[in-house]
Amino acid sequence: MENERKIVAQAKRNPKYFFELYDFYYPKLYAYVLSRTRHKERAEDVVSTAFTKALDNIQKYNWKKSATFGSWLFRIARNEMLDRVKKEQRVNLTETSEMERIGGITPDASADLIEQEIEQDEKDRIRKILNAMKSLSETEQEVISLKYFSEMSYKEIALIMQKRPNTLAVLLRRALGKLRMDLKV
Amino acid sequence: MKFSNNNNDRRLIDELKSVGEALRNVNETHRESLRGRLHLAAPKYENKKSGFRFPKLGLALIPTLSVAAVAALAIISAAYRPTYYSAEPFLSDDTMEMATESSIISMDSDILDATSYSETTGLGAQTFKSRFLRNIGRHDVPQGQVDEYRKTNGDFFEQDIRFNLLSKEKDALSEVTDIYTRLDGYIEQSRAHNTDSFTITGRIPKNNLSALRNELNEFVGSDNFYLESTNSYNRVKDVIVVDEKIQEVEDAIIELETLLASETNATIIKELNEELIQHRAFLRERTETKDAIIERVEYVDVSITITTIESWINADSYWELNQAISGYDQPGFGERILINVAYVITRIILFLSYTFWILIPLGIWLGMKKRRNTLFSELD
Repeated sequence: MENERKIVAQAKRNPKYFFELYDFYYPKLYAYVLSRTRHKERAEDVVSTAFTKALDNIQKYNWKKSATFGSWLFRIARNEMLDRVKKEQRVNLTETSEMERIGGITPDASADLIEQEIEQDEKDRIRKILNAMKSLSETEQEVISLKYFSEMSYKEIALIMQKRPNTLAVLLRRALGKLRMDLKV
Repeated sequence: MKFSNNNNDRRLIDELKSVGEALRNVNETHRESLRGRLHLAAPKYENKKSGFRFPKLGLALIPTLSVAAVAALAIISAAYRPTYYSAEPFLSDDTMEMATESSIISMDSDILDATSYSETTGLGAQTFKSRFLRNIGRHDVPQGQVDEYRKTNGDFFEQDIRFNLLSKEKDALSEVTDIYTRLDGYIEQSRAHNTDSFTITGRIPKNNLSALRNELNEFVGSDNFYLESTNSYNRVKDVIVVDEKIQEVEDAIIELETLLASETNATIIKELNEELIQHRAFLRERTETKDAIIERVEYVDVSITITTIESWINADSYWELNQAISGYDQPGFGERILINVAYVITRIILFLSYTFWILIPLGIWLGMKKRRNTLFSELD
């Protein structure tokens, strides 16, 4: 985001500037959280909590520690999702994936995530991709979500996932290979 | 690490991107409702100022205060030496100017190094510039002290002393030069150290060394100087010894021939002829052996330092004037300790300031650059 550092500084003094950040990051964050939770209401809750926390704590945001405001915001959302996973684990231990436990969804339910006005063909295409992604590890899914669904840079992904960019590149390469095999591209 | 994607990868990536675009564009309802809720939550810290964080402010203040402390030290030091005596006013006096210049010029034309002389006597233009830090161990004679001296003794007396100081050295130089010349020697180099002493290096025949020593001792003993040091080095030089006798005989022959031409007495003519024959024989003999008269003479390079004895004038007045001419005096023991402590503290503060402003930002910048290069440059 252009002039992000300046906008953040302004937002610290006047919250009206926060909404410039909100407009820019909402679609990215929602796409990421939705692809991870695969549950519309859960995704909305996590996104709402993340933005509320960001707004409340923007005074503490330090660009030196977080390369961009986005990486800081995504880390808030990611921690929120992990917190929910831990809470779920306490009450319901199953062998399904952590993110599935949050959403409690089945592959066939993926299409319900999308607004009704989207055409059926588009929904099918999305469902196909999201289902194929289920064969990947959680980390691989997360890298793909951040890189292609949220369009984050390697630098930002590295800060969000707390991994080295080289590792992420290898993960992404491997994930793309698996997806290609599953989708027979 | 760079990967080159093939066409299949490209298609898959394009597919993922289009899914991402679709996911980003969904749920406009929630987006607007959340915006409204955030708007309601926002005013609780509206127009809150970010302010400074104390640790950062403190870090920024350290070098700033350090520089301010150095500046304060400089100001205090300058206040400690409010005004200083300058030799320039005396040069503006017509009489003194002429006297001084003539002294210097004549010394220069003789053999004295006028440049070093003017520097050491305080007559140079650059002598009384600020000495803070560069000459922190010194401090000049305060103007008040000089004014008091002038009030008591007057400018004329002071000028007279200055003139005598200069001309005295000139006399001494001339005297010593004469001594060398009288002993078949000559001056090679002469240099004044300050108003009180100078060094002369000359060359004399080795046989005259004891005579030189005697004459110098006699000179310094009679004229309020003393010989501070003497060094000598042997030298050998080819010298043509001029036989004055040859010239004398030639003159005598001419005289005899003149007498013979005018003499009529046979007895006298006979005596003159005999004498003439003897002279011609002697002349022939000396002329034939003239080439052999060139001989190797052993010379000695003698370097002497002569210092003026202060007692030739009132000691107190001389000392005060000497301080004024030199431009400074030495601080006392307590002052020296204080000045040195202040100097060391100043240097430490300056070093810390430089370290903060230059080394730390440089280190941070290099660290960031290295990190950026290793992690992100090839991937993003």
